[in-house]
Amino acid sequence: MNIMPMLSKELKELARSYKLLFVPLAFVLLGLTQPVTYKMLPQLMKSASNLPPGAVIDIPLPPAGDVVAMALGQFNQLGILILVLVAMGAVAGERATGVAATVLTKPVGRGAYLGAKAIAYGLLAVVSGVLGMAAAAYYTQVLIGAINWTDAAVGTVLYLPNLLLAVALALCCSTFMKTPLAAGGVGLAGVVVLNMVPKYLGKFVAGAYPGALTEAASKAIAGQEFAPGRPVTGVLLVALLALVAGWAVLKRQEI
Amino acid sequence: MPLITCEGLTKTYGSFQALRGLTFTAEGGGCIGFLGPNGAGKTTTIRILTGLAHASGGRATVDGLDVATQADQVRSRIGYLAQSPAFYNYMSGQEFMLWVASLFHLDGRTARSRTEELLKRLGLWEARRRAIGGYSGGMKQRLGMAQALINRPKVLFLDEPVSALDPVGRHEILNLIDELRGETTIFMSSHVLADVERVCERVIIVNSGQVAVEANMAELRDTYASPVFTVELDAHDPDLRASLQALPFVSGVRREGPVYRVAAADVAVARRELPRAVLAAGATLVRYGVEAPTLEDIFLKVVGA
Repeated sequence: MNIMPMLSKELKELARSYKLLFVPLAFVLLGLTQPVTYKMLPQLMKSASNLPPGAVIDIPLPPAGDVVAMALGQFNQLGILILVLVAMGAVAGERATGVAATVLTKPVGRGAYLGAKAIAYGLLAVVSGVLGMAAAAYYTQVLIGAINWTDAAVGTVLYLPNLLLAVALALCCSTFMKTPLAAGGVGLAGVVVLNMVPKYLGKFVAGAYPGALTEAASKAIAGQEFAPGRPVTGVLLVALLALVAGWAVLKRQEI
Repeated sequence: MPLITCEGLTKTYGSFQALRGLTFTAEGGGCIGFLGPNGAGKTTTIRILTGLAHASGGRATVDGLDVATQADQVRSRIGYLAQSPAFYNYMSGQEFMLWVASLFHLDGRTARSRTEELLKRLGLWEARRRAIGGYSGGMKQRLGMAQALINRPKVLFLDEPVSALDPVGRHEILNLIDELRGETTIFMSSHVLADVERVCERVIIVNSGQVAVEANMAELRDTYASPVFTVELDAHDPDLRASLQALPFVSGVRREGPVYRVAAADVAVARRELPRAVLAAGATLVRYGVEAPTLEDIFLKVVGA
């Protein structure tokens, strides 16, 4: 299979291109935005509005668990956008430059070629998601109030399949689109469709789509009851299908 | 057992048929020149043989292995150099070589010694720690050659290996191909016929997706032994080519500046009549000679250009 030399190359590439630094850093920044915003909201409103002197702005802080859960909203938009942007050129870019031809005339199976990329970018997504949520939880604890770390950890783990799905869709699109930009565009459209459409497709599908998973993860973090089985299975299944489809396309593809 | 076989290979892109039952057999050893005009199917054939493309029909083997069903085993036995090879530019030359060695499962010591041997041989040892992104075009071509040789391939596929190089780079790569003759079988496509003539002892000429000629250089010269008449004028005469072409004993005329290379349908008549015809056309003859046909003459005759 030759997946290990390919994986070591992918990890080296993530490090040398500073993606391994900047993507987790971006998630950390996104994570700490939520508690900082809530803490600073009264001051921000006071300085931004034209209130008479002596006016008091009294906005009650939401429960700490809710603040941490709201970070997932940031990851769902900007976080996923960042992941799609970094993964979109993984195959399409190498094919366009010709380096894929150099590699794929060596004893490297196309499954190993795509699999190594999926593992490397999946690890990047997991590390980024965990660090981003850790930042959100820590700053919420410091600025807002005590949080339940076990609930936060469970919610984080529950949410990670959504990030893996974004990576899988970007890689899948990267195999069949000619340019990285087109791959990124179609990948993002795929993420949006998967987040919007399934909720209108009946109760069964609506319980197993990325939005349902975000909801379950939010409930877990906020200490409420949640049912993760269907959304986790559904999202991971779609991510796996995206990778299998990417592999099937790549296997028949002319390089 | 032949080293490379193509049996009735076809390849279709939409309505365009790139290969139309391409068939040839190549024995191991030496250098095989793979020639043809643009769009003849040279690159398509090499891409199928190296596993980068899939044939629409027919069968191809390398070292007895089917390129479609035993692709992994084929790839472990071949080396491939593209016309403009691409690399991971953030890696150094040495790092890239060691990584390629790991794809062939070479152990650490063998990988290091083979990398050193090849980088020294290709004149890249001094630049081994530099990022490939900073290499010149010629250095990248040499690195491409080095990585293609790391596994001591049974067949080295070279797709237009010198066409993107300056004269010095071309000279270096051709010398290396010459040196490699005893180590591996080289299958080289090229537009530069003089280069093929210099390093290859066997030639396959393809045209419109089919093999037009497959022969040793010596056989080829015997088959197309008709001499070529060289007519050099003091200046280019715009009407002379058409005048010569119209002569009944002339089968083809090629012009390079004031020099006309005339292929004769009837050599005896041409020998007698050609100088007379040139002078009758009002041209001033500077030099007149009879030469053995070059590969380019043969190529043009075969592909009907």
